[in-house]
Amino acid sequence: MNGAAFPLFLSLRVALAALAVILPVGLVLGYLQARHDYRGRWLVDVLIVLPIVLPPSVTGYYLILVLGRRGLIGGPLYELMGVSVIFTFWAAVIAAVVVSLPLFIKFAQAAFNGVDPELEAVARTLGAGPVATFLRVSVPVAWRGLVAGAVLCFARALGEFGATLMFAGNIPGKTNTMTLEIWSAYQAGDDARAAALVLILTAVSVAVVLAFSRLERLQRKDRR
Amino acid sequence: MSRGLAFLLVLVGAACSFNESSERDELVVSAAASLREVMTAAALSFKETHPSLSVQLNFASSGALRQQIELGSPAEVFVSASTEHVDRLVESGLVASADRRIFARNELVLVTTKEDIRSLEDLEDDAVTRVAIGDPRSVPAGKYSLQWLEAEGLWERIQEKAVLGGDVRQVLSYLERGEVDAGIVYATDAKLVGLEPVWIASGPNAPAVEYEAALVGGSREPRAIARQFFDYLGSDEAIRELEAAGFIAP
Repeated sequence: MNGAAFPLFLSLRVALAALAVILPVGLVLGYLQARHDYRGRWLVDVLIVLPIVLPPSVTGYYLILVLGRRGLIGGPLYELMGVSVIFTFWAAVIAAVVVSLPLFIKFAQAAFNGVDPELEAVARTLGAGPVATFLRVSVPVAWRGLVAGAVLCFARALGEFGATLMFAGNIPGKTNTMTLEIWSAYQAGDDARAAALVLILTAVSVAVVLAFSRLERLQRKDRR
Repeated sequence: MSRGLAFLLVLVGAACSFNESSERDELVVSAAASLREVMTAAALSFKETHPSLSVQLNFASSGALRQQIELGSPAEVFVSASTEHVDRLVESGLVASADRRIFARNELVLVTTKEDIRSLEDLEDDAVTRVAIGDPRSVPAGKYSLQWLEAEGLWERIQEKAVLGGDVRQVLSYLERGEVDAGIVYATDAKLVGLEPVWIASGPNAPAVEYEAALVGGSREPRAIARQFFDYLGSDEAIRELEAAGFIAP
């Protein structure tokens, strides 16, 4: 029995890498959705929410259709450059990003909605550009909601199972994240290993929920 | 409020109505994934003499099926792709040692979609980046593949390239979709999808692939209908069907 350390650190690495993609993209998209009304905004909203509702196996299937070795993008990529992302660490990261980015965008949108537009207007009249206003006024004011969203999104990425199983495979030493390893250990009848991994993930989840509820309470206090 | 309650009751009622099949005469058979077609055919033939019977077939890796049986799955007949999983059920008292029988044999083959792979050794080439086998921890085909590669002294270099399937048919589907360069499956699986094996396990390094059928009993005596099906699997008719699908008679 090889240790539980590899799957644990792999899961953390995948979730952190996913977060590194999600935070910038999610902040911008969340802000745009909260502040700007444009044609087709509803469509973007629907597309953002969709992965939250789609079953992970459906998401995994789409990922294979698009990025598999014979996929819409994955096909040419493999033919021309010999690069293929399926069954790799990056496949796990992509799966995690797709399923948890929507969560963060929704939280960011709500957090930015809670920022008084007057504050931003004042910053603009004082000579701050739109980027500076965003970075120095909107983000700092909304930070608790943003952190809460990031925490939840990190937990979702850590817990990704279905799309990862389909798209990243379950390759020991490469893509066997915690959740996949629990499944394999259970399938193989290695209950001791499954139970140890389950305990670790339960502890992580409890910590996330506690952090999240604390942030929410602080946010409510802020508003009062 | 009361309307909401009524709605809930309707939901619960609907959920329960989907679950009344226990009334019918039903036999649950759990079989290794590689047996999907032959077991489906065997169940159909068996039904000809038992028209009121409904045979529910459940296919997965033998390891996963064994685990389900240990946790109380309703399977009454288990056909495993390896004797090892039946051994474990005998040990845990779920199968009587008299109620097991070698059902069929099979061969392990290397299949590929690339023309430059012509032998098992070719898997070591740097041009080959992904080789699919079943997960050795729960998929017998994977365990046999691992034994084979180890005995041939190739595992160390192929390990890096291994992509593990949840059952042997997943290995096949990875290959058909072109996600992997090569895979190790049973001869019968390759035949099924019309893939010509490039290498067949033979000689002293080839693992013996033996399917074993078992009657699941535990504390209760296996039902007569389960025993009839178990006996049918050893009949001449069933063996003819097996051989037609490319299996080797026990």
